[in-house]
Amino acid sequence: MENSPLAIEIVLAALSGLILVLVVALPLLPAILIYKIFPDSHIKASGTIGALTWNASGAFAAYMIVLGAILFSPLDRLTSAVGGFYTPAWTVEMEIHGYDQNAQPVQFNNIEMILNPEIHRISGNKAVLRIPGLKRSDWPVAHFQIVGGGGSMDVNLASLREDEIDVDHFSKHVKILTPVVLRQVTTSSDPYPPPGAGYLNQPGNDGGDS
Amino acid sequence: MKYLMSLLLLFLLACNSAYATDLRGRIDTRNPYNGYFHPLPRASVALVDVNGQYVGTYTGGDGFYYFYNVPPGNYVLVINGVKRVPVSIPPQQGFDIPPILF
Repeated sequence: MENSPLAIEIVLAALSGLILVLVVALPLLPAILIYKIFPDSHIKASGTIGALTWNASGAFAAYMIVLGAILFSPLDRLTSAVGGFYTPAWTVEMEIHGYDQNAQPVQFNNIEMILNPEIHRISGNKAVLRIPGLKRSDWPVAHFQIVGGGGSMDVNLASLREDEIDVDHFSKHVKILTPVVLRQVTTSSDPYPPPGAGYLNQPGNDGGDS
Repeated sequence: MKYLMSLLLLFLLACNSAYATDLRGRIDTRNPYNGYFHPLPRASVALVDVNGQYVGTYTGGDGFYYFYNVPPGNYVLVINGVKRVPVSIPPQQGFDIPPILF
């Protein structure tokens, strides 16, 4: 069951190549049959492909007719589906237009985007993430944190070693064998300052550059 | 003599691990429109020692970040790669770094 991502990409490339060969070679069969059975036939076909006007007769006309039939058949959708394996995630782009109180255009730098329902969830002591994309090197860092003054841990999903995970490429399921360990942080008994007070770097005295 | 040196080294190591502390801090930001302060989630925080070695993490949804088993000493906190704030970690079990305004 252990297939490397390289092996999967080779299989997908081979599948795409096979479909391309079929699209080109399949129309040859009726063309050869017509040429063999009716060598003196007077089949004629003409049309335009883009700015190119073409006229054909005999077996070549039959080839062009069958090629056209294939190109506008559901096979086109099949090639799209194979192409979809390369990029299994949809990329959705949208522009954000922000305006201030005076209706002047402004670019906000503190926008959060929340999905509903979320694409990841934590149930009991198990975290389940749905990550689009084929390449594991593009996977993000998962940041776990006990909300309200607890501990935290980062799991870099892109750099997990093979012996740390159990991968099922068929169902695209990855089980991380190393548990995420969250420890309650022992902190001082003084209450932590609320926002707006007790800053280590008051404006103009931040001890560094900003 | 070698035996004594080994014992001394072990003692120093034990002292160092006993004083290694867990750190907690929060990164805040100020809304330029209404002037309110609020915690900054998903900010990257790096703790850099005097030798340039560093550990990194991110703030959570409440703006807090954590570091574990940090030896006492002088460090620089680098927030989002641009803001540098020097901090001094005392030899105690747990330590709260005061909030930092980004």
